[in-house]
Amino acid sequence: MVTLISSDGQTFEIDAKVAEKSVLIKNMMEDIGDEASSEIPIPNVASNVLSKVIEYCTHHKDDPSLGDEETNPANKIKNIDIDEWDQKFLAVDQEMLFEIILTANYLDIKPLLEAGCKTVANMIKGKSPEEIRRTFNIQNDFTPEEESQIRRENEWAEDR
Amino acid sequence: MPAVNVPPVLPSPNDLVGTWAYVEHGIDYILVRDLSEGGITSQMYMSIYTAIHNFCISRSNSGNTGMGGFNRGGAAPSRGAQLQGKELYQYLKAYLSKHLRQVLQQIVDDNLHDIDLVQFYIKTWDRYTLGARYLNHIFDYLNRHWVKRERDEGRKGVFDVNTLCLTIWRDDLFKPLQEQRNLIQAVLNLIQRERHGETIATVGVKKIIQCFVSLGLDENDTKKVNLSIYREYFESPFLQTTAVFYTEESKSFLQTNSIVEYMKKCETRLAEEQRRLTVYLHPSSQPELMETCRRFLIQQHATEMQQEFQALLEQDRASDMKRMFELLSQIPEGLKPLQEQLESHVKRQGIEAVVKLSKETTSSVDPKSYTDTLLRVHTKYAKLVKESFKDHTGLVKAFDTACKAYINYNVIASGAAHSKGDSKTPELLARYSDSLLKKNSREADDANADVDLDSRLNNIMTIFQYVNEKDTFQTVYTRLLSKRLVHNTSASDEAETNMVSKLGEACGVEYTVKLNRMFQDMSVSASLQAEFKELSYSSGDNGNGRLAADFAVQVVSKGTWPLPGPKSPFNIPKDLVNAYELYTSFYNKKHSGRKLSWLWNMSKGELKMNFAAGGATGKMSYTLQVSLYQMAILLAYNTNDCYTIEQLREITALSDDILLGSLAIILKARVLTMCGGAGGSSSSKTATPTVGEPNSIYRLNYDFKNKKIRLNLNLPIKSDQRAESDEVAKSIEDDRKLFLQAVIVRIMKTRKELKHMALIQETIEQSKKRFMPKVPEIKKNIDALIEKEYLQRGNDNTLQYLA
Repeated sequence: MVTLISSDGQTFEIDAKVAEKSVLIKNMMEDIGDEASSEIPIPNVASNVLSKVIEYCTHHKDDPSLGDEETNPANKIKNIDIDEWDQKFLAVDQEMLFEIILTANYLDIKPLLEAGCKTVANMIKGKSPEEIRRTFNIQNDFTPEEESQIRRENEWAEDR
Repeated sequence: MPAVNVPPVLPSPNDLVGTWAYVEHGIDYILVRDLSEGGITSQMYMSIYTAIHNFCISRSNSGNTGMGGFNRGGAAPSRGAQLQGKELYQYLKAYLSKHLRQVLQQIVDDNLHDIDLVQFYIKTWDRYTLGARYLNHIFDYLNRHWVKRERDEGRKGVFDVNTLCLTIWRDDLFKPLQEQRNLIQAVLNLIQRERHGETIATVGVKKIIQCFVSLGLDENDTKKVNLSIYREYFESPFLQTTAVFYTEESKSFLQTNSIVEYMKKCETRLAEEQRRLTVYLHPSSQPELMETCRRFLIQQHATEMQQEFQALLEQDRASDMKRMFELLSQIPEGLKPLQEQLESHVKRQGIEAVVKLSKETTSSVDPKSYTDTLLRVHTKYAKLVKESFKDHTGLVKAFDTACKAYINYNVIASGAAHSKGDSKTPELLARYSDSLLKKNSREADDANADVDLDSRLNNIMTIFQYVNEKDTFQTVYTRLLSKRLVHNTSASDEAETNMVSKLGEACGVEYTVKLNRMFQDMSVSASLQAEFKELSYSSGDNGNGRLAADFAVQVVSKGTWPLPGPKSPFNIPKDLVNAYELYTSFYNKKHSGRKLSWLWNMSKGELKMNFAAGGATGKMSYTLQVSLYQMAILLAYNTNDCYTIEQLREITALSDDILLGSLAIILKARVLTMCGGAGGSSSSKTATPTVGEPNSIYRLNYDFKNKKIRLNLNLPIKSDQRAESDEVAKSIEDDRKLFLQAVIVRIMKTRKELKHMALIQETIEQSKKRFMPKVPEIKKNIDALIEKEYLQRGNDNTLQYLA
């Protein structure tokens, strides 16, 4: 068992196997030994996000490790589908979704990072620029001239 | 937890100097500080990682503030392709360089040499590589993003942190150290000390060699093993010292030691180097190291070893020869001189053994001792070839060639008595097998005869495989077998079939077709005889009368059996005419159209002699085993006591050589006595008359006496024996003629047209499993085939096949 400590000081006692879904934590435990790494501060992650990430890791703790991305040919064909459980798990508000993605990147949890990014991609898919701006609350800071020029340049990519 | 380990508050993400100072403090713990101060803690580990992480995702673009979702804890995300990290990477690089230059300086200051140098190097390397692994993990965020991007874009000189550590070690410590202190020489000195018998810390050597291996880096793919450093800096000087060392060592060793001792030395040295490979060298050095050793340990002294081989052969030093074989088999062409020497030695041994045998025996050679002599030499060297030379192809071949030579040609095989120039070995071998397979022969009398018999038959097969003229063996064997079968002198059917199947295995089924047919004939003949016996008893009631005697006939096919026919006219004794006629009509009824030829010369019988005066009990009854010819002579005395030679000639109609030969044996046994002759001149009364002299008289000996009541008079007549061996020779010659013609026709049928020389070559090739044909012999048969219009001569010395 290891104890994770969130940025706001909350402790989470979890199975080492769950913690090791994070490559960062896994490497550290190998480097400095289980003994020294029984208490692990996670200075960048707040407890609400950390508990979500722990939930994910617990669910996936028995998944086989994907191994090295480049050497494993199975990973070359990118799978667009998202696991059903993951879909439900990621059905959260945007702010939480982005926090999860950032944490996955920070702690190096590749499957979670991918699932998160796919979810964001699905939110963009099939939408017009205007819709995308609305979805993500982005201000249009192009001048009309700039915008029409970009449209012309990317005309070839338009879906007609 | 010691207070020093508590990390200060995380630096601001945008503050490069603050971040680096924070990170550097942690690296100090990892690489430099005494480990007794307590290693790095999980807090420090996570804090440094987080500091690097935060720095890498910092430097927000103030213009892009719309993505509210991404804003977190003051660390704004970077936008687009720009990734942070270059500065941290450069700082780390500079830090490592500085650290290693200090290490180098320390070595120079402490003036470390040899073992001290090696030990210090290993200690520092251990710490450094462990640290490099930590750093690689702690800087993982940098590796995953900035380094990956740089490498993906093809930037040279950017590596993951672990590789970076290694390149800096290589450039800032290893290479300068090699220049200033010659680290490699220190390692080589250690190995050299081990070669001189000292014990060294091999673990250290292994580590340092592994270090050389890991310093070889493939700039494009850091995961690939690259041995450039190991090769250039270590392996090539190592091989050089190896060469020098063994050149000198073997030279000085041979000045005071024999070559046999030297071979032992080589063996241990080679094993040592082999072990060195597994203990601390890189396995890729195997081929070149062993090649170097072989060159300087074996190749350089191969001639000396090869020259010693003859002496070892003569002294039967099997283990030394084995050693020599194993050494020389490792170098190209090393065994060739051994093959030549083995071949001539075995050949000489074989020939000399036969010479010795021929000096010991005065009369004709005993087939058993001859075979045993051949076998002894074979067994001895076959064992050597197998055990010392591991049945090496080349040496087996040399051995076989030698065996072929001495087995076929030696003083007995081609002695003066044998005029034709063909080897006598096949015949003697066949005779030996006959002596083994014959009933009551002394060879088969041993207690464990069965086991023994099989192994002796195997011995025959061992020699047989080397025999050139297998057809001669076949002919003689067939004759001897036919005698065993006809005279019922075979010891066991099982042994007979066993031997035939052995021959079949060695030469193919064709070789034993005739032999097998002979066994078939025997069983057919036996059932025929049973049938006849029944008939002869029952027909007694039909008025034909019972037969005057037991009468048994064996019928076999003429083409298969090499039985000589009668060479003399013959009158069947009238007591047997009845049986003869009965059997002839019986057989003709069963098989019309077959011709029955009676081999009188092979026939035999038993006679009871009831007239002779016995001991106290009065008349004695003697049984005589006789040939049919002798029987014809003796049966005449049922009607008269006394005949002249002329009368006997008339009664039996036998030609003189057979009549006189048969008579001589009867006279010698004193069943008949001879008197008178040559017109009964007075002078001849004192002199013993010669058998068959005109007018000589042969009288039944009423005073016949003998200790045995059974006498065998059926002994071979001398003239018969001589005739037989001529016949054998002739039959072999005829068979060869037919065989060669068949081979030639077969070749021509497939080739249609062939040069004369090529045809002769091909014929020899196809015949040599049976015998070695002589070229004039082949030419003669080609001519015969042209005459028979199978072939015709074409242009340019070719021959053509005529369909």
